[in-house]
Amino acid sequence: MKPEILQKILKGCIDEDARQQRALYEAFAKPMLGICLRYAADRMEAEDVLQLGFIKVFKSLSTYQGGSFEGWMKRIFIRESINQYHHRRRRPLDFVEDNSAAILNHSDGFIEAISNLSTQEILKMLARISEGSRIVFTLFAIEGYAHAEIGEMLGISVGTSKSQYSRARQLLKQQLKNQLYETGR
Amino acid sequence: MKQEDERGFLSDRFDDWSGEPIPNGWNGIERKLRAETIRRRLALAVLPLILLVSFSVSYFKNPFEPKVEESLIAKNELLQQGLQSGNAFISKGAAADKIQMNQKENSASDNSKVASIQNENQEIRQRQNILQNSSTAKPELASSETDLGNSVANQVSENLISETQPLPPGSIDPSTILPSNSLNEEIAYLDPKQALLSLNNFETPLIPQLSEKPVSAIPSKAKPGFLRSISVQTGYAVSSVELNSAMSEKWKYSVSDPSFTQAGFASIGIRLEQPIKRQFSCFYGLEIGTFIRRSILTAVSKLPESYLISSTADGRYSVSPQMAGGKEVRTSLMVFARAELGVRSAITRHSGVLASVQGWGRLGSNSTSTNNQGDAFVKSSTSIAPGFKIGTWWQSGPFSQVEFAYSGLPEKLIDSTPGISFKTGLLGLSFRQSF
Repeated sequence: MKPEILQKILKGCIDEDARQQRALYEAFAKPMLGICLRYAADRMEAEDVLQLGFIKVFKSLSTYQGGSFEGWMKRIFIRESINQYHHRRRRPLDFVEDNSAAILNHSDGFIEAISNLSTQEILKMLARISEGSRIVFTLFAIEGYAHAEIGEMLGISVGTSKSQYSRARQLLKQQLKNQLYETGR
Repeated sequence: MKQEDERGFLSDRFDDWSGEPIPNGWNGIERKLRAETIRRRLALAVLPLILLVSFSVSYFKNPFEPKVEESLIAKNELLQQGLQSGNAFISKGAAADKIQMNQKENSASDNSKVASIQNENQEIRQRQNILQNSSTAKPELASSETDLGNSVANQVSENLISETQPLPPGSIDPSTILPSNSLNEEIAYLDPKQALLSLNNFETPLIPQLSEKPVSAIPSKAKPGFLRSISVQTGYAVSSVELNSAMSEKWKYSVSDPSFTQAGFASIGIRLEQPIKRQFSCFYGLEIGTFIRRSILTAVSKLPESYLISSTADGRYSVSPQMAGGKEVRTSLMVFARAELGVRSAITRHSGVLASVQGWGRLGSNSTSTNNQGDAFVKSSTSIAPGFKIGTWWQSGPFSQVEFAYSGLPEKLIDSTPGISFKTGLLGLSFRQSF
């Protein structure tokens, strides 16, 4: 989207112009739903988070102060997805301190193996692991947040974030092995 | 390969990955946005309306509606006080009430009952005469205890002799001939404040005082009994840090010294107060004030600004990253309006407690930062929030009060720093003057 068009839409949204709000929604709904789907338990929850996220975007649009607008929106949707998860469970994410996982061998071909999968296949595999690990893995490997930032967002220590990532990695690797075994057989 | 090297390794794969929203997804968002807008506008419109109605009701409502018996007892006491002190501030109506009370108390036998009933009849006629002639004639005031006693005695004895006939005992139902005129109408108040002040003085009965005003000047309705007051309030805010640190793209920042967070407020207000019972009164108030908070954040860059290379004793070099950073002072200012509805209760003669529910409204806000290293302030999107107040009061003078109260500050009204949040309560001292 051209910057001048985006500026016009944003100005209209700040003035609570319904047409411009709809234009913003139509421009960003698809990528933002993609983000929500990574964190939500199912599609219905992702749709709910998408609605809540857009309402939050419209309400806090006046605080946007330049930079990548999509990046700014993305952060709002990620935070909203995590808030929604906490709200749904009515308890914090259940993370288990397991520092042993953080010192696993990382030169094991995992990255190469998982990179060969399609996006849909990766998401399917992620859906099979525990939610705490999945969220940490998504924030670290897909969104590119540092462990310190993930810790701040989820209210956990850096060590726990690292161990949860390793745990997720281990579980995904196991799934990859199983897949190879089934394919080879 | 270290774990950190895997950070974001899948981000490219998901850059263009998107979902297909449901076709009518926008309708739900639009509905929620519209509902929120209506709710916000409604709240902005309803709050002044509630205040207006509350003030109007308190202004026009008659605060004193004592029962007949209570009035009689109270007036009798006042009459006795008047007689003892020799004051001539007692009207004929009150004198007649004295007789009525005495006769009620002495109606033990049938004969005395008859006399009592006949006296009451006589009184009614006397009062009717007084009221009818009140536009032209001033009431007769007893100038002394002797005069009053003589006057009452003569009226009673003469009328009894001339106008009554003996009736068989029990032949009349007393309830059919009790006085029906409202005693309230015969009472003039010296000042509504005098009556309200009795909230602070248990020994003074919560009743209006009789005046020497002529009957013609007596209002047909009691004067409104609300007490108006203005107040000046100031105090400091007790802030505790709930979320202490946050990250922006380049900086990690935190509240370096929570105890250094300084906050204060000042306000002026008006209040209307209305007694409910002897020890209780309810009040409506409106205040306008400012709140200011100053906090110090320490910001540290997430990436090194430079590297310091130094040589060690064994001839090697060590490289240490130099992080940029510094202190940042953030100031938030808010102008607020606060409406409250509460109750005040007396515990001793000159002090008590109070509690109220409040509606806070943000009239304006401004936030500044000395070097803005962290994320920008997030402007609050909430303009109305509920609150509460509890406190104590002292009657410092006939028409002045001091209040010390704690009230919760709705944090969502104030511009915030992402990742940092406070919980704030206001401790305020106010001076109140009635007028």
